[in-house]
Amino acid sequence: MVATDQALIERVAASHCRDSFSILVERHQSDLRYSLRQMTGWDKALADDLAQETFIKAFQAIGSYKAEAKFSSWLYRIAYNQMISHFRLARNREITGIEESLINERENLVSGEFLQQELHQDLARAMRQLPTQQRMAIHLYLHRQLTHQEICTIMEIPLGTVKTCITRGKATLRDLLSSWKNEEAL
Amino acid sequence: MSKVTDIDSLFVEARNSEPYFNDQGFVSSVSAMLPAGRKVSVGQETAVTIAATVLGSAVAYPFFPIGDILALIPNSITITPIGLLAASSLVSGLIYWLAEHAAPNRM
Repeated sequence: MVATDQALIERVAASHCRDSFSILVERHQSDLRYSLRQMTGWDKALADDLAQETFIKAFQAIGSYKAEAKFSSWLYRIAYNQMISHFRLARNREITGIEESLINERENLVSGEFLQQELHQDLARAMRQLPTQQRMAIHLYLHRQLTHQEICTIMEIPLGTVKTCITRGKATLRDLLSSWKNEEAL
Repeated sequence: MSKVTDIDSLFVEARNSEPYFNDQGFVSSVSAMLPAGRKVSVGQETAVTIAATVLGSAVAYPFFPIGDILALIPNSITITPIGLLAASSLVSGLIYWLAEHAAPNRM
């Protein structure tokens, strides 16, 4: 029988069981790493570093996790805070890093892989133009399909702000990603 | 076809084609960086400390010259003029020091 997230969390909280926590990491790593790539302009190294820090923080604070929210939502909350701290501390370095990593990644991909990843990378690059708060709200709402209320809880901002972030973010993305529609029309 | 980009559709497409990232050492690198867990809980640690303190005090009590120490405590205080002067000087100095340090910063 497969242990539920809650059962594993209880085991980690009670005895700091690393094996149980590893199962949780294995279950959630792909989603979190993808989300963080979307948040960082598809900077693989930065996204993985932030994901790693998120899981370590989660392990340290597992006792404070309340089962009312999904474990993944709790992880997003930690990841969001990690991301905010990171951008505050290293804004300049992070922007140049993203541009370089995108160029390198595109050069290293063969055409098939390039086409597969084109949408994700273009989306990530466009998202990078949005303020961090809008970026996270848009991603959680449109990609992860969380409710406004869940986003409020994760980002610790009022409901109205969440809705405004999503509306404004969508309007900006519509302009930034207009080439996608044009290419399709051709 | 409309020239307005349908952001919702793009996100649906992205969601449906979201890649699954293989572990590729990620889990093991996280595990390696996890802080060492406590061998005992905070409650257990406190209980052990209290038990050890009580036991140590019980062992030391018969050998401790508690009567001699209690005898050293004076049972009356005599106030002399010099003592009174010293005490009032001390209190005045303390009040002055507090007043100086509690004053708000001036430009």
